[in-house]
Amino acid sequence: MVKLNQLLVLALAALMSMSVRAELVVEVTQGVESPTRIAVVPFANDSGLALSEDVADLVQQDLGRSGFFEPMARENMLGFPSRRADVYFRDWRISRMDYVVIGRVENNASGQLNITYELFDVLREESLMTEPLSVPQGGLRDAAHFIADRIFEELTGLKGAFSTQIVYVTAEQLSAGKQRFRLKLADWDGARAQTILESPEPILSPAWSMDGSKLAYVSFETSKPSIYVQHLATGKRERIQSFPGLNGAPAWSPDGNQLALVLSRDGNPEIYVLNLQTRELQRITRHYGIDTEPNWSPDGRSLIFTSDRGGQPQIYRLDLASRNLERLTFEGNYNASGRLTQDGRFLTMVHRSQGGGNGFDIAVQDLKTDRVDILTRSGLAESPSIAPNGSIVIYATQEGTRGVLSAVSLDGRVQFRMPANEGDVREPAWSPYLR
Amino acid sequence: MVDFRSYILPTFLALLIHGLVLALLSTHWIDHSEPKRSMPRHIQAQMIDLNALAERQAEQERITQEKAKQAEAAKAKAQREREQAAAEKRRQELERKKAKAEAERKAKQEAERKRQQEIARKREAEQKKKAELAARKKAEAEARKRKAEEQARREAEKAKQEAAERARKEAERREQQAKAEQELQQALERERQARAKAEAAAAARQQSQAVIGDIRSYIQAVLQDSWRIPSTARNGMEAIVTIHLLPSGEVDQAYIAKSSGNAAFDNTAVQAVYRVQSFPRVADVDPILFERQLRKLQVKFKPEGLRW
Repeated sequence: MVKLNQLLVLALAALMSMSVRAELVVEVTQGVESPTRIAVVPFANDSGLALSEDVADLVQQDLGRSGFFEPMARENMLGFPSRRADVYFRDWRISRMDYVVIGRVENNASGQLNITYELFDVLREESLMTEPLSVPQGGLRDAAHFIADRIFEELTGLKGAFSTQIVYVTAEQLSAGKQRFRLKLADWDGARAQTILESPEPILSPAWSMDGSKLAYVSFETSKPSIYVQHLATGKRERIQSFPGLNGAPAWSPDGNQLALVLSRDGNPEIYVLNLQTRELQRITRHYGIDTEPNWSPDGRSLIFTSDRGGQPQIYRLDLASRNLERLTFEGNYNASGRLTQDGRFLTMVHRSQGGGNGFDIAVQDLKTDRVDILTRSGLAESPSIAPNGSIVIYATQEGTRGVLSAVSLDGRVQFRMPANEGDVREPAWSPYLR
Repeated sequence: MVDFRSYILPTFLALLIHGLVLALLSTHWIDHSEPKRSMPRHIQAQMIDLNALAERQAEQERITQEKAKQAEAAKAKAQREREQAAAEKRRQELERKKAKAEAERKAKQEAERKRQQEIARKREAEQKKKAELAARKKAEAEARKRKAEEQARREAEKAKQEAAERARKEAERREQQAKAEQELQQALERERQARAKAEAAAAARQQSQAVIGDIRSYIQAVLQDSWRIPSTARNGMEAIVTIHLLPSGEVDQAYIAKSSGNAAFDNTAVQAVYRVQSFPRVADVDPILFERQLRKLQVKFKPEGLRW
């Protein structure tokens, strides 16, 4: 009995000592939801040439506009190091920076420019990445977007989309009754815009093929709407379909072989799928309500589209194999122009809240939880298009009487205006990743 | 106790000696006849001479004569011999009578001696027997006495032993009892001490638990201020960072112990620790407690209440 007691005491003591020795676990569930602080130090220009672009500034802008980063203003920097030996981590730590990017531009023998950049982790005081690039003198902007992509991917785990492009449509009132419509192609930030189509008649709904080589759009150039496909490399274009009535809203399937579109040849607008090889047309929806704005799910197995079959515009999803129809949006009395992120989880759309007046805003719905977040407060947003990495939504809105392009990060943290200096801008479409 | 067998050997030896003496003496007494005188015999060899054959006639005559002479001589001789034999016979008879008397006398003497001897022997045997009997009796008495003594001695011994055994057992029992008592006391003491120790430990633990709880909240608060939750973070993500602290509270190192699967998210967790650099309040913690719980600790970064 005595022994047993002793044993018990011993066992208890052992248990206690064990629990005492267990490692302390601290659980952190809250934090500051703030962007990552990064300093992009102006790149040293050792080339002896006057450079057309400020590479570091472009990198900084790209990173800042993603919403993921909060770049440091140059005037606050304590120094402009361009080589590893000159980086004093203490200074950057005092400036409360987490990362520092340095770089320099030099001439090389073949008349090109060598850009070397290096990314440092200030807190751990170590170099994360360094890479030499060789670019032609006119390629500084591409190089800057490329560097921004690399840094973005290194620090967020997401592929950067700074080397992608956008297309959009501008409209100019030349004189009474005379308009000029242009289809424009630009860098994602709106820079280096070029006109790829000009028409006195409206151009609508440009859509990228998934390989980024072609655009489909609706043009009224023959006075009635027709769907065209234009090859970006050659400028060659072809009319795909023209039926009586409305021909609109083309959308490429992920494999590039099919085009979803809206035709009203049978009375009211319905969704069709056109096989581009066989030219076979397949009717997808059959409803007396309006079905429009089709878009493919990333896996190509279903279509989302806007329909007013429920009395007001809402977004539906149709499974192509089973023809199962599912309503996706329930919040608000207006949800249209739905687009899915590449991971299929988030749906962006133009949204009008219940009792929210006449404001149309960009909203994002988490299809996993059905939580809806409204990202803008402009009240006149339309045509959202998502960056291929799902980080940013670009959309059209009104500034005064003028249409402009705006962008908002998917988390709503960062919003910025695209530079557009001409006319009325509308119908943006973000390209996929380009090679 | 004397073994009876020990008397057999002496008795036998005595008998043997007596017998031997008797045997030796008896040869003198019995074997007194004259030693035989054997007469040596002469071998008469006959010489034959072939050359003398011629003379045989003469010889024959001479022999015949001789024979006659011899016969005559033999006759005389026989006469003489008969006379001699008679004389001899008389002498022999005399002698025989004489020997017979002698023998008779001797036999008589011998018988007497033998009788005397027998008497002596018998007396001796008697005495011996008596002595033996006495000795045996004595021995028996002695043996009995010894046996009795032995018995008594043994009994005494036994009693003594038993008493000793009893005493020993008693002593043993007492000792065991005392020992058990002591052990019980010791066990109680030990238990009491263990309990006291456990209580002290519990108290200390409670106290250190309180300190640890404090420190945990402190570290948590500092890290929550320091952690920049990235835009890519999603509810349900979880990264565990192992922190090695120095007694001063400074961060020695921090690394991912369990990844969230998202390297960027993991990175922000590690950075949150490095951003803090030091947890000064850790320096106030008792060194033993520090060694046990704070030198190496784990922080679980698990965002809650994010939009997604």
